[in-house]
Amino acid sequence: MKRLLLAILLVAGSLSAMAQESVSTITGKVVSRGDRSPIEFAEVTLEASGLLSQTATTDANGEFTFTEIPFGQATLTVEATGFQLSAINVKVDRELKDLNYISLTPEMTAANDFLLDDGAFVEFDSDMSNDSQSTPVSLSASKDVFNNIAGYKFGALRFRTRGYDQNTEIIYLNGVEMTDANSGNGTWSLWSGLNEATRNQESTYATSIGTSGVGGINGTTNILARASQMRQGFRTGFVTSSGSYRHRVMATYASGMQDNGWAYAASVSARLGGNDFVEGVTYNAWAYFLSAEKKLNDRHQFAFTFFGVPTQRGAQMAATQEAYSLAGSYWYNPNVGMQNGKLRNARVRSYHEPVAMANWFYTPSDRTKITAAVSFRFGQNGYSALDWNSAADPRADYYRNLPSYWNAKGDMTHQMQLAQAWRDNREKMMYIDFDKLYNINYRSNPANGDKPTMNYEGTGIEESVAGQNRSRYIISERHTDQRDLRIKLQADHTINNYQSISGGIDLRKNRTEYYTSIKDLLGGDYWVNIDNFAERDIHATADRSKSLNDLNRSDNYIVREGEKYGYDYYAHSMVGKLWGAYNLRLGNFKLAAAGEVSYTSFYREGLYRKGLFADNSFGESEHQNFLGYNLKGNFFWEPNGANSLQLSVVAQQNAPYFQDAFVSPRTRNTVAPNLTTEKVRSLDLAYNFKAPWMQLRASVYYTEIKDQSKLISFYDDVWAAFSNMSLSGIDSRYYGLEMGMRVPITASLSASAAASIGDYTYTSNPYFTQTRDNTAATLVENERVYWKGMKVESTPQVAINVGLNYRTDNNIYLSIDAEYFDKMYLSMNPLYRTLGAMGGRLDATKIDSAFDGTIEDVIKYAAYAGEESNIRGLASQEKFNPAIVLNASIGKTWYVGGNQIGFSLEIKNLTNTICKTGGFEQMRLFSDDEYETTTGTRYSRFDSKYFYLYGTNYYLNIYFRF
Amino acid sequence: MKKYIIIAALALLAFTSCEKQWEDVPTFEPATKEQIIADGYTLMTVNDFKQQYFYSVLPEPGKTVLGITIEDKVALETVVVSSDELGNTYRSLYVQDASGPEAGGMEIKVGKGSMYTVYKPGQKLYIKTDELILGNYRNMVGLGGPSSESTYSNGFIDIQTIIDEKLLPGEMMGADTLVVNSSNISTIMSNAKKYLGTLCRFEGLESTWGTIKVGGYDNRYPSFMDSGDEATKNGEQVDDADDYNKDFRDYDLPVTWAYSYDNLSFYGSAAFTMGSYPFIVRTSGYSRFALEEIPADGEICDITAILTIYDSTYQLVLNSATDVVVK
Repeated sequence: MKRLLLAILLVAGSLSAMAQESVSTITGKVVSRGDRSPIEFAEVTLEASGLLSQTATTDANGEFTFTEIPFGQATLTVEATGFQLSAINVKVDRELKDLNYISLTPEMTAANDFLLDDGAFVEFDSDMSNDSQSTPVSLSASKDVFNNIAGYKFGALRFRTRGYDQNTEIIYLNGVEMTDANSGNGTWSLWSGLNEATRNQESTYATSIGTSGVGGINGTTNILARASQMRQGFRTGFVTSSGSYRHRVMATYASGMQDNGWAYAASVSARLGGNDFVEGVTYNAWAYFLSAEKKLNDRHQFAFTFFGVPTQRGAQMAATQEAYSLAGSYWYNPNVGMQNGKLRNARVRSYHEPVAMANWFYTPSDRTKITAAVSFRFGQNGYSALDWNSAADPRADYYRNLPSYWNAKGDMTHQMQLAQAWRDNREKMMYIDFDKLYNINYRSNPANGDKPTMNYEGTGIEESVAGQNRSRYIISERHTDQRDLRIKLQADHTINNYQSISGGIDLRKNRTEYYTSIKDLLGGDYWVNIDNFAERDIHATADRSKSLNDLNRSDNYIVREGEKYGYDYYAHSMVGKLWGAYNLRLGNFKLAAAGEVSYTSFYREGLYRKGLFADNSFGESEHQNFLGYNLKGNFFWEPNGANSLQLSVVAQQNAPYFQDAFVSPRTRNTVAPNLTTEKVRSLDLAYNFKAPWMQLRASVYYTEIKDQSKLISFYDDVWAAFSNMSLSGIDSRYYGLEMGMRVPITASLSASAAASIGDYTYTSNPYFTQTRDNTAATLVENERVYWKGMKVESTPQVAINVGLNYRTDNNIYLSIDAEYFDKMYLSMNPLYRTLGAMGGRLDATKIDSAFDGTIEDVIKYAAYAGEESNIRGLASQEKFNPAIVLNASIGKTWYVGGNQIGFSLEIKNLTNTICKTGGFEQMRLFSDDEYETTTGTRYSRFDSKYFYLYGTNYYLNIYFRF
Repeated sequence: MKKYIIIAALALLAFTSCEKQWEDVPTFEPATKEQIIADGYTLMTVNDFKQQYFYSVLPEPGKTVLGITIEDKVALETVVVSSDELGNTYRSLYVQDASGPEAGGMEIKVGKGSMYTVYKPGQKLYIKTDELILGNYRNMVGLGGPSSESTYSNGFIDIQTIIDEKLLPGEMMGADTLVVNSSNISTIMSNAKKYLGTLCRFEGLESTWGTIKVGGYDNRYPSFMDSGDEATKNGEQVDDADDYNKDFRDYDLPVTWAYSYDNLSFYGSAAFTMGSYPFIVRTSGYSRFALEEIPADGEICDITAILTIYDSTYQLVLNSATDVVVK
C-alpha cells in the first residue's frame, strides 16, 4: 500500500493545471476504424466549458471544422449512421487544433473511450480450466455497450457471454482467424502483454456477421495489430497491482503512415512478480512486437508483423474447502512447495510462440478491396507438473493427508491426530516438501538397496546406470508445440449505395506435437522411460514389452533433462473454409446474409509405439473428415436514427475438435465413440436505442447446441493412472436477456448498467465411455450420464452491473460500480451421474442404459426405498451462493507541452467479498465399505475443489504519451 | 532517441529472459546416536525393548489383545531389513537391532507406501518409541500408533509429522543376516520369538508341493487365498466357496508366488521345509514378482527373507524373488 500511495503522490504532485484565454479552430476527419475510409454526414457535437454545444456535419472527405473555440477543455461526440457513438476529450491549446483522424467503429460496436485507459488488464489463456482467476476478459475498448461492461466487470466471476464455451467467439488478428486449431479457443495468450499494439479492435457481438468472416454465435473480434493501425506516437506506462502480476512496464512507438509511405511500430513489455493472494503464481512474462507497413501507391499496401510473448508463470490449483481451512487461506495453492526455504511452484506455464504475419491490401477500385494474408505460429508451449515413479504421492493436499479421509473411514483417532498435526505444523503440512524429494533422488541407486522394479534381464532394457541416481520424482513438462499455417484471401466489393458483397477463403494447416519432456530431475541423474502404471499393473513378467513407452527404440530407456519420455504424438488438422456475405440496404431496412462451408480433416500420428497398444499407437489414425456449414441472416430495421431492431438467425454444423476426438490420445489411435458434428441453432432479437440522453442495447436470444463431444482426462488416484472420460451427445440450451445501457445524467456524470439474465441447461443425457491409459480394457462403455435438466456450469447465469462515471473538466475520472452474480454452478463429474455409480441404490431390473429421463425420473423409477437422498447427494449439482462485488476507480490526465501524463487506479472488490468463482467435482468415487446393498457398493462423492475470488486489490497504471 | 533506447533495451531483455534455475538442496544429515541421546533418550536393544514393555506385561483381565503405550523416552538403534519397492510389503517396515539379528527384530507399522525411498534396506534407523504403541497381531509383535478398532492392539503411524519425529534415518550400514541351516535350525527355532522380524538366510530349504500340516492344520500348497470367491478360470468366475486356499493348477494357472489376474490380486502361499520345520513364503498379489514361478516341488533353495509369525505358523516375507536361489 505504501508503494501505491507514493506513486499517487508522485504523479499528483508533479503537475499543475494551466489557465488559457485564447481561441482555437478545431478540425478533424472522421473515418471508419476498419479501413480508414472517410465517413460523410457524420454529426460532430462539440461541448466546451462556457459555450453552448455546437454541431457540425462531415463532408465527403469526412472532414469538419469548429471555429472560435476558447482554449480549455472540450468534448467531441461523433455520431454516424452505421457506426457507434464515439466521444473524445480535446485539450484546446492551440490556435489551429488538427485532430487528424477520428475513427468510428462499425455498427453494433460501441466506443468507450472515456473509460479508464488501461484500467483493467486481463488476459486470456486457452488451457487454464483448472487455474484460478483465469476467466478471459478481452481487452477490447471498442465493444458493444453490454460487452464493454461485461468484459471489464464480469470477468472476476468467470462470466462467459450467454454461457457459451470459449470457442464460440471468433478472434481475428489483422483479418486472420486466430482460434486454436485443436480446441477452437481464442489464442489471447499469444499477444498478452501487448496491450498497446493490440488495442485497436473492431468487434461484433453475438450473431452479427463479422467483417473478416461469417463469425459464430458469440461475436467476433478483429485485432488491428499492424503499424498503420496503431496510435501514432510514443507511449510508455508502468503498472503495479496486487491482484495479478506485481509490476508491468510497457513502451510502444508507432510512426503512423509517413509521407514516404512507410509506417512502423514497435512495442515491448514486461510483467513481473506475483500477487498478494496466491503463492507461487509469479509472472516472468515479456513481450515484443514489430510491425512495418509500406504503402506502395493508392492501390497496394503491404504489412509485415512479428510478435511473441516469452512467458513463464506459475499456476494455481483448486483445493477442497477442507484444504483451504487447514491452510488458513481462501487462496491456498497446492502446487507450491518449499525448496531450500524458498517457495517453488511445481506447475509453471512456459511458452514462447511467436507469430509472423504478412498482409497485402489491394484496392483495384474505390469500390473494391482485396486482402490476402499469411501467418505462421511456431515455438513451444509447456506446462510443468510433478511426476513420480514407484514413490509416494508428494502432494500436500493428497486426500490421505486430509482429516476428512479418516473421518470417512470412521477412524476418528487418526482424524484427530491429523487435524492436530495441521494445526501444529501448518507451514510444513501445506507445502510440497521439495527438499525431501531431492534427498530421495540423491539416494536412489542400487548401492542403497534399490532393486530393479522388474526383471528386464536379457531384454536389452537398461533400468539403472552405474554410479548414478535414478530420479523417483521429477518436474515434467507437458508440451503442445504448434506449427500453424494460415492463409487468408478476402474480397469486399460495394456494388452500389445499397448493396455490398464480401467473401473469402480461409485455409489452415496445423501440426501440434504433444509430448512430455523432463524439465528438472530434482537432484537425480536420469529417469527411466517406462510406463510405470503398466509395469505395476500387469507385472509384465510374461510380456515385459507391455510396460515400454516406445517399442520402436531401445536408446531412450534412460532419459535426461530436456529429453522426451512418456508419450509423443502429432495432432494433424486441416481446415478449409469458403465464405460469402451480402448486404442490402432498402430505406430503413437492411438485410445481411452470409454463408460458409467448411471441410475439416484431422488425425493422430503416434510417434511412439506403446507396449500396451503396439498395433494401435504408432503411425496415423484413421482420418476424421467432417463437412460443416454456417448460415446467418441479419434483418435490420432502423425506423429513425435513435431506434433500431435487429433479428438474427444462425444455423451451424461444426466439426468436433481434435482434443475431444480420441479416447486416450496420449496412448492410442482409438477414436471416441459416436464422434460427430456439433449442430447449433440460434435466434437473436436486439433493440438498440441511441440518443444524447441514453444509449441502450437489449437482446433476447435462444440457442440450442446438440451433439457436442468432450474428453476429460485426469489423474485417477484410485488407479494411480491417467483416466479418460469421453462424452458424446451433449445437448444444451441457452436463452435469456442481455441488456447494456449508458445514461449521461449531467455533462460530467453518467450512469451505466448491464445485465445478463439467462438460463443455460443441459437437455440430454450424453453417452459416456471411460478408459485408462495403462490398460486396453474399456472401463465403462456407452453408459448414460443422467444430467438432463442440470445447469451449464462455471459461469454466472445472472450477472448485473450498475455504475456511475464522473468526469471533470480538468480530466479527472471517477467511477464506482457494483456487480451482482447468481446462478453459478459447479462443474460436474459425469461419473457421479451414471448408473454404475448409483448402482448400489437402484433396482437394476427396472432400468437400463437406454433409459432417458432426468435424475428425478431415475430416483422415482428405480431407487430403493430410503436411497433417494443418497442418490441426490451423489448426483445433484452444487449451486454457489450469490455474490455482490464493488469496485471503484479514479484517474487523471495532464497535458504538459503537448505531452500527456496520467494515471488510473482501480480498486477491485472494495468490500472484500469472499465467494467461490469456480471449481470442479473430483473425478473419483468413495466406496462405503460399511454399506452393501444386494446389488452393489454404495458410492459417495469426494469433496469438490474450488477457486475463490481475490479480496480487495488494486491496479495502478501510470502512463506517458509523447 | 531515448524512446528507441528504451524499446531496444526492453526488447533485448524480452529475448533473453529465462526461467529461474533451481539449485540442488543440501543433503539431509543422517541421525546419530549422540543426537538421540542428546534429545534425552535411553537406547535399548530391540529384544530388551520387547521383553520389558511387552512380553513381561500381561493383558488386562478380560482383554485378549495388548497394546502398550510407551511412556518412557526409550529409543531403538535399528537397521532396516525390508523393502516395499517391489510391493510385497505394504505399510510395514521391518527392522532389526543395529548390533545384529541376535538382538532381535520387529515390525514397525507405518501407514505409508514407497517407504523404501526414505528407509533404505541396510540403513540405520533410530526409533523414538515414546507415545507409540507396542502390540501384537497373531503373535507378531510390532510398534505402531493408535487403532480405531478395538480388535487390534495397535494401528498404523499415519501422520507424516509424527513419522518424521519418531523415525530418524541414519547412515547406511548394511544389515547382517541370520544364517539358518540344518545344523542350527533346531536351536534357532526353539528360540524363534527372539528372531521374529529379523532378516534370515535359510540355506537348504526344500520346496514342498502338496498337503502338509502347518500350525496344526492340513493345508494345500502352493495355493492362493481367494477371499471373495472371485478368481476366474479362462475368464469365467469359479465358485467353490468352501475352499479359500485354491491350487493354481486347478485353474490352469502357472504356479506362481501369488495370484494377479483380471485386476484381482490374492496372496499366495508356498511351503518350504527344512527337516520337520515348515515355513510358508507368503507373497502379496500386488508384488511385482507375484507372477514369477516358484521353485518346483522338491527343489532345494536358499532363501533370504524376513521371519514372521502368524499364530503358530512361521512365515517368510520376501523383499524380492531374486532372494530365492535354487541350488
